[in-house]
Amino acid sequence: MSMQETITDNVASPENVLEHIVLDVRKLSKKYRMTANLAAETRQKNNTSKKESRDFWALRDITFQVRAGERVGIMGHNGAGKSTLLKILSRVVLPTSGEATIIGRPTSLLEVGTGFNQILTGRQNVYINASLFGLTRNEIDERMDAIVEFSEIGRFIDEPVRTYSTGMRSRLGFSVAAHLDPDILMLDEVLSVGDASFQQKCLTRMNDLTGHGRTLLFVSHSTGAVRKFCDRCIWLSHGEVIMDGDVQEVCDAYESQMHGVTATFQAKRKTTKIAPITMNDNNSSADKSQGVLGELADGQVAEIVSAQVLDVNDQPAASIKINQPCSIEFIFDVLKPNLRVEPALHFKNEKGEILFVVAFTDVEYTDAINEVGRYKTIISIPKNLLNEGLHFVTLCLVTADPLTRHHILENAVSFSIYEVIGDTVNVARGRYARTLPGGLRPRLEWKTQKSNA
Amino acid sequence: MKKSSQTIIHITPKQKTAFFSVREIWKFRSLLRQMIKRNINSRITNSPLTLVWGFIRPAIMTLAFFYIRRMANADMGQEIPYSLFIFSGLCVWFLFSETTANVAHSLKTDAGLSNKVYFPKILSPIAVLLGRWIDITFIVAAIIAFQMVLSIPIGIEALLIVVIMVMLLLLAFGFGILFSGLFLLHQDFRKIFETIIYLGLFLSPVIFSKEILPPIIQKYYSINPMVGILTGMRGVLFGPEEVDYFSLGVSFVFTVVLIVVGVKTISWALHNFEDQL
Repeated sequence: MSMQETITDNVASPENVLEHIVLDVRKLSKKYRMTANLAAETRQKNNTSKKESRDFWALRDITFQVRAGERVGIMGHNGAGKSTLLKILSRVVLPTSGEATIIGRPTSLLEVGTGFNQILTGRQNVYINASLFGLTRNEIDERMDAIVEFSEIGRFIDEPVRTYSTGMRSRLGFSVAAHLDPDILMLDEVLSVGDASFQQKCLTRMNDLTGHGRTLLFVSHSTGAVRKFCDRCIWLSHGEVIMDGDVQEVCDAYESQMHGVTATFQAKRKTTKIAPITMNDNNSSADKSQGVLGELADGQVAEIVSAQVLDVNDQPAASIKINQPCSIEFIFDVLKPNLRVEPALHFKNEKGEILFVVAFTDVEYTDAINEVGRYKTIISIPKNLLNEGLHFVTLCLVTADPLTRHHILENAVSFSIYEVIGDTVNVARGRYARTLPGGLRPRLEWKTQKSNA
Repeated sequence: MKKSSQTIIHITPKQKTAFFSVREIWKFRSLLRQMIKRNINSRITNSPLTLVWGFIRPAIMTLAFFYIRRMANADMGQEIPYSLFIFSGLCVWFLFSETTANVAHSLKTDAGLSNKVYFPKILSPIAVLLGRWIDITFIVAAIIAFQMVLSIPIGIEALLIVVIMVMLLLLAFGFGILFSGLFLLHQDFRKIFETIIYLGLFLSPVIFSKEILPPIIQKYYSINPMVGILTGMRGVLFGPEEVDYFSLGVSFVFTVVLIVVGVKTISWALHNFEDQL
């Protein structure tokens, strides 16, 4: 309505733009000028042209198209240009070159509760906030009751916003956003802060409102959130599109680069020392595992060959749906006989905390492995066991008694467990919308009876 | 609203809509109304006496100046009682200086909004300006009330005060946006701005009439746009004073030029120094 302009001659004709494309970004770039300090530095160096090195490209030749109904996540590390892109699409900053066309009524939420005035009441702020997004007074009047009810603010709505808690403020902001009714919704991290149950409520409403036609552009650096809310993902790095495609594919690639997540491990030929994959915090856990595993054996008794994470279809996978089983295929060589070699696994979460350790309990090998040879074992992980997030698996070859470690590979393989929004029946979440804490998230059997006592 | 499939936004490196675009302002009129409301509401909530201060402060200063003039036994060249002369002058001067300052700082005040959501930036100064109607009502009422107390005749041309006040707002707008553009350019313009506003009180016929100035200065005195507005205000309200139409005309021309220059400056500054906001 008020925020748009009707078709004019300078806009690409319908022949050029496919019918369902709602966002067309072409070679979009944004250049920022650096501050004076850098200029001084440049003067000292004196070998590069001053103008060039003072420029910083936040975005460089970004090109992509979004069709109606797509839910696109924009991922990237800090400073990758995600927010700059969203700011340009929100018309808050102008691009340096390139162009973008938005077809439909967009709403961009760069911050929940934009423009909330501390001393005015919640109700007064709803009027300002909603009119910022292009609603007329009548439209706001119509939605006011719904907004207040949705926000769960209650009678506080007529109190100054300065008396609100952070949660109340973001609830009210979300609530306005949830009633704006846009064709294209652009969100910048706003869903990753604040009350998680309210986020869920908001997104459910977004889905309900228009269903198929609604397009979502969601900027985040959390693969979990993007996996949950999006079906397509664009990975930005240093202002350029690195990858654009299916959300699982792009998130897997992103995790493998950013967190060293790798679903497969393959030993080099005849290696005895393999550098463990480092994690952000594995000092304490390394100490712990040494404590568990005892002394390192003399000479090479057994050696890890390879390992990989397999999904429900036995295909290598770096990301596993929370309500599907997966397995780890572990291949190793036993080099000396009669030493009761057995494999073991340590599972750790993103923070490097040990979730659990599993010992070798294959009923076929009650006395562990005593014959020399190559072995392949598959360890099945039931569905609904691990919680959402990244999981790192340490591979071990040990003798249990006396405890001797033969070959240890810290975090040799890793994978991420994700949950798809809306699939609440088959997961342990139930009707609970918040992030469930803890490393594990088993779905247990419940048996409830009403007692007559 | 439902013909959204036919609406298109085209984003290009060039600012498509000018800073001053009547079409954009009209499109966002609903937001403008809310911004004016917010301006008034937040000022009143912040200090419930804010509207009364518009004439209390001039009243207190009137006492001081009245006393000084008594002591000095100076001739300020006015036709009406000095207390009314100076009270009306100070009321209008403070209205002007505060409005100008608020207009000048309005873009910065609303930067939290304009960095998050698109809307025509010109709405910020316009909202400040139009939010002043309530102050103007109070101030004009106070001046007329004081005039009544002193039994100074008032005529039908007192209605022209509306025109004078519109001119005052337009002048404040031009002056304010010129400086808000300059603020983006360099912070030091803030000091220059403050100095001009402070000096203006003494360079304009606020506490004295221009009749006491030497003829040679009087000839060019009307270049100061506040001369036309102050003498105009006294002329239309107070029977014995005359409206100086020449000065008023000069003020008008000055205002128009100032607005044009101001819009050009702010547009240029926003385009080149947008990240300073």
